[in-house]
Amino acid sequence: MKNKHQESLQSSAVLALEMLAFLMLEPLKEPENKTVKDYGVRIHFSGCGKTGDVEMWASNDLLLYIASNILNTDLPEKELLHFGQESLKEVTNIVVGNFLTEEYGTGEVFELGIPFEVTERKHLKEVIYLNSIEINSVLELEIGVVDG
Amino acid sequence: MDFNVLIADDSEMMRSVLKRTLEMAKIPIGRLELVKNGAEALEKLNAHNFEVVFTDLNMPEMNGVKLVEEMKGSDSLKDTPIIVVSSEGSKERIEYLKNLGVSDYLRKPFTPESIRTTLHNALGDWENEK
Repeated sequence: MKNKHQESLQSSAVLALEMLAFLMLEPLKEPENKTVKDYGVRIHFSGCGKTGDVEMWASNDLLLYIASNILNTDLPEKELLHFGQESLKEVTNIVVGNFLTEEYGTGEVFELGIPFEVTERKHLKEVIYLNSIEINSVLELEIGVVDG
Repeated sequence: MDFNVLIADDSEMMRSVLKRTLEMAKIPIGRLELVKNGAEALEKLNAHNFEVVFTDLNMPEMNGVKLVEEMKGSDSLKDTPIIVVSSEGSKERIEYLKNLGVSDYLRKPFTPESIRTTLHNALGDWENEK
């Protein structure tokens, strides 16, 4: 069973990716076969007496699909992948912004860092998995929030 | 009437998504310019007339707040409606932006309907004006 952080993160991610990239996602308990995640993004936030990080990991297939959906045009795969990677950064930023509002309300001011590429996981406390229905590729979100 | 629209956002994705969503909302667009930061936005604004500006807040070189301040300090640009597009939901920050003179605030992620409503707030009900 998911806790409130995980529920908020999940609903923020599903909403952002559906509205911005026309990507339909369904929650997964844990992927049966651990999918190789090719690209990871991390963002740091602070405010309301808390600090935290969120990571989002996706496969290249999923990034290409996101990029194609947004651009609706044919581009060389390398350019499309780069666009997908940049899109994942922006989506992570939006997901965290919405997550913080959902968790802590509109009365709190949070500072969000710039999303950046990571090559190693920080192994944050809470994890959720979302499966993209169209291409059956798993998106992974991790979050860790600490007081102080 | 067609609107000349300027979009300032350092994310190529958001520029593309905003452009596409304006099309989906069937907003009558004349000139549409997409730029990466506030400095590029000011160059375009000083060269052409725009009916509305959409701007992100966090951009390199010149951020959205500085762009708003520059426009509000300019006799020729102070009346151009500015819509801030951001994922931040803090009431305090939105109030601060409205006090700076921002016409409206569009929260990411947005829909064609929310863009249409925001434009009505900024530009008036152009569809029923004669």
